[in-house]
Amino acid sequence: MQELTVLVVEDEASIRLSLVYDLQDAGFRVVEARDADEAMSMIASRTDIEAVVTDIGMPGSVDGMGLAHWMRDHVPNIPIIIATAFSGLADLDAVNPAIVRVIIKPYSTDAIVECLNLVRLDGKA
Amino acid sequence: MDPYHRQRLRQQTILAKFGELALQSDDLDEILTEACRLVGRGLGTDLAKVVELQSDGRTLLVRAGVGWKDGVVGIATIDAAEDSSEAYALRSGEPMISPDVAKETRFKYADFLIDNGARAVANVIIIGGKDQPAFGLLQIDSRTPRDFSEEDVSFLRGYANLLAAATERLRVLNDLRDREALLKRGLAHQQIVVLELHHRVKNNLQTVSSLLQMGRRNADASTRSRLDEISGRMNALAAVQSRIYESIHLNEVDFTTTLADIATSLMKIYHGDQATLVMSAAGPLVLDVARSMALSLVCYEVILNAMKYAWVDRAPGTLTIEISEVGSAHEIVIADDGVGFVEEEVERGMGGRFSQALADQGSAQLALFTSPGSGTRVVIRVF
Repeated sequence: MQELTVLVVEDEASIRLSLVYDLQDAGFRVVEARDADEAMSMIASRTDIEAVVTDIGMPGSVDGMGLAHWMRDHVPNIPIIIATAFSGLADLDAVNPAIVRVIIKPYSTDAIVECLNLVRLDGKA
Repeated sequence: MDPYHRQRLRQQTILAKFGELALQSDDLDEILTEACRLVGRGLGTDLAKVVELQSDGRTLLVRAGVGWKDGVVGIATIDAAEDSSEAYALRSGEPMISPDVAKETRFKYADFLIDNGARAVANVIIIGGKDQPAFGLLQIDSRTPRDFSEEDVSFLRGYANLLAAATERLRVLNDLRDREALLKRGLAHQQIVVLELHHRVKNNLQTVSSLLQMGRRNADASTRSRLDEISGRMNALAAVQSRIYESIHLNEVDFTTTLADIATSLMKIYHGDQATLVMSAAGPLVLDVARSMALSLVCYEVILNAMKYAWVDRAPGTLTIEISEVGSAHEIVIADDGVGFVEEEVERGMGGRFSQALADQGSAQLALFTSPGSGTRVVIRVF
């Protein structure tokens, strides 16, 4: 199966690292960003990122929702998985139609792997 | 009817009409403007105003009025200096009348009054509520010099007192609205704080889960198994946590959905889609958070045992969870259709003691029913 390059955006180091390792174990190529600003700069400067897994509540000039907004305007075709402690998020389609799923913390990495596998298969989740 | 009685009747009618408005309207400006219009009709003048005493206790703002040129109502102020008729009326509480401003020697009058052609002025105090300063003055002006009869003054006093009751009613109403708004803001703030705390707890649980995941990476099989146990129990607690904020009361949890979360998650981990969960509940089982935490761990241990041992050497079967009311208690029955066992032959381990202690903590009783070949049934009676 084709190797998918995933950008993990999470400010909590332990959560980020654990997710990075698990995704690598599951066969994904993984790059990481500590906040949305770093993520935007990575997405803008490279062309290999094919999916983004992002937290919402993060420090920086924008949060995960701001990143999703920015991606709608700059890279509308990259699928986004939101992994967050916030529940009850409304009107995500208006933020970015490329948001394929919201996974609520505390989550099992399997849920994210499952979602990324669907993205890897056909770009849908 | 003679003119005298006709005039008194008109004034009485105006008092009654204004009284109705003063009771019904919540719009102070509407009340004050209508008060000026009606009082003018009652006294045969087209020039009247209400001046409101400002917080400095000395400045009077023309709050409402009829008959005035632009730039007066809502803008012009009167300084209630010692030598003004306004200061006198406010101080004494008595009506103060100047039949002819041009001949007035006692008081000075504001320039805008003269500019607007006011030649006679009657001031009547609009008193405040208990322990409140006066609202201001009702001022009836006339473009020609005129006297105000005793009956006119009496009408004015009655009218001003009616106005005072209306302004005080609205002051109290506004005060209540302000307090209500303050309470709503406080409540909204509290909800934000609770939501934020809820997010932090969930985030912290994710952090712990991630640490455990990382810890098991280079661990041996035994350590991994231990870490998985801890991780599983933590996930059971997380299932309770994730349901807390969905509850109307933040100290209560719908335990039925929590239990479904735990069972679904464990079944998926151990048997993928091969085992079947049949769940039924007579109604919601709402428990406080502390009991939910304890009983979620009990149920986790029971379901975990079923997942590990019920279908050894056979295809995964069905796990049945039933929640019913038994008198004033609830009964949670967790049953599998697996191999069962001889109770006496199974040593009661750490998990069993742990479950018993947690059941006690959650005011529940545990009972186990099993025999080889007929599955295992655990009854948790929740008091």
